[in-house]
Amino acid sequence: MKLKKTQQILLILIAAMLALTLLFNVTKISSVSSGASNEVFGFFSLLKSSLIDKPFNGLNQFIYSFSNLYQVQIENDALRSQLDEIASMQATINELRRENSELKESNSLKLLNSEYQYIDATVINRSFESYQNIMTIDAGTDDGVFENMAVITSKGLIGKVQNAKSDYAIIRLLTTEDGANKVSVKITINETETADAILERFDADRQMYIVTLLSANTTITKDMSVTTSGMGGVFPSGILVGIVSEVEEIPNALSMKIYVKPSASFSDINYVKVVKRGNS
Amino acid sequence: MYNFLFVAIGFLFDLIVQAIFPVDFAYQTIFFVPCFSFISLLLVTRRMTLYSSVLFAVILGLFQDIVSGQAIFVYPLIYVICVLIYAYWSKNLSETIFEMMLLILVMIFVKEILVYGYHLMMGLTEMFIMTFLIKRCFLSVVIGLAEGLIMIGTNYLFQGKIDREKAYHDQNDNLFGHQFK
Repeated sequence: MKLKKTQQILLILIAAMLALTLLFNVTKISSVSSGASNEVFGFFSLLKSSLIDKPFNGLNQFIYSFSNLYQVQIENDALRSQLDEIASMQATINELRRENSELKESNSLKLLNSEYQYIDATVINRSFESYQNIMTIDAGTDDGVFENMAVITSKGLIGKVQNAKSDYAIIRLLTTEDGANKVSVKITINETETADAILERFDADRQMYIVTLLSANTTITKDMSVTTSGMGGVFPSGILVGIVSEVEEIPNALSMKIYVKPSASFSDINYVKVVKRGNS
Repeated sequence: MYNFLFVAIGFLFDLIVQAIFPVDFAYQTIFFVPCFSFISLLLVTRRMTLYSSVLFAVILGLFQDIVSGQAIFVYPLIYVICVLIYAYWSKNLSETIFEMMLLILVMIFVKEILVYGYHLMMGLTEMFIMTFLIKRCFLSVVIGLAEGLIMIGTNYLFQGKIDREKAYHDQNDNLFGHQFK
């Protein structure tokens, strides 16, 4: 089939744009288009959440709740028995807070690494492309969410805020494999001793984080807990990251490779908390 | 118009399935990527010229990039390659449901391999190919069976309507059009 001149020009333009895009992506040249893509992705997330996700998630929840009524009753009975302990735990926490503020004042400390507040948010969109590892939440700068804030679920750290607009934010998950999401962590050896390490990246084959120890003379064993250390100024300290699953000695190297099983589940995240450093 | 509407329906099905079955970013479970819009693209472009197919693939690919939060022109490139391969292979096959299904399943596999290859090349993943095949590709192709049947059925409904309208207009032209020319 013979093409007209305009059709030929259009095809050449398309081929040129595709080739240039491939070249820019290979050489990792960032462009205006990625910023524009984020804006449109955020807008689309809001639209999709209100038109598609909310109705179908609502229906899903209804069916799930109805089919789990008996299980919910058993859980309620167990939780009721734990309620009595909450009052005494709250009194202990208040006492510890009071002691903490007195100690801070006496040592002239303005802010501890472990002080933070939570901003609740709902996930309104997750990228269907699993390689992208991004999600959109319905909290933005108007709610106090800014870039590089840590994001957690009830089970642990899941990522950090990559881009924040006034009423939504895009989160980059820790499951990225490109090594651009390093986290400063510490491994709890015992009640008084910890070892500093760096969470390098996520290993999709083993479904675990790869953590590199910073000190050579430390013995790390399975089932030790890994939390954020608060160093680096991005994440507050004390946020659970995972549990040590495997330790691999690296031949001819001082350090060792530690595989950490994530504490958070990445398959179905609906509600998250954005962690804000400070106590104001 | 009907082509765009048909692809939009495929896209809507994709969004609904994504809401109900989200992907597992940590690859702890086997998951699938819905391909309704991709299948609708293949079914629509088989009746188009190569030039129209490429344009259509670029437009849908751009839209898919926006939806998935990718850098621009990733999916247009992949969809154009898929459409060209599909156009070449479909010349040797007839339009029975079995052969169409076979071709659709193969194209889903090709698309997944291209997406995986692209992200491997860009350094966005270091996953072994076996992990990719087991955790993502396998179920996507298997579920593609059901998706393909749904979209082929929907396409026959659409195409039946188009053919009936075309026959009606052709009949009316023969009765009235010529005498006024």
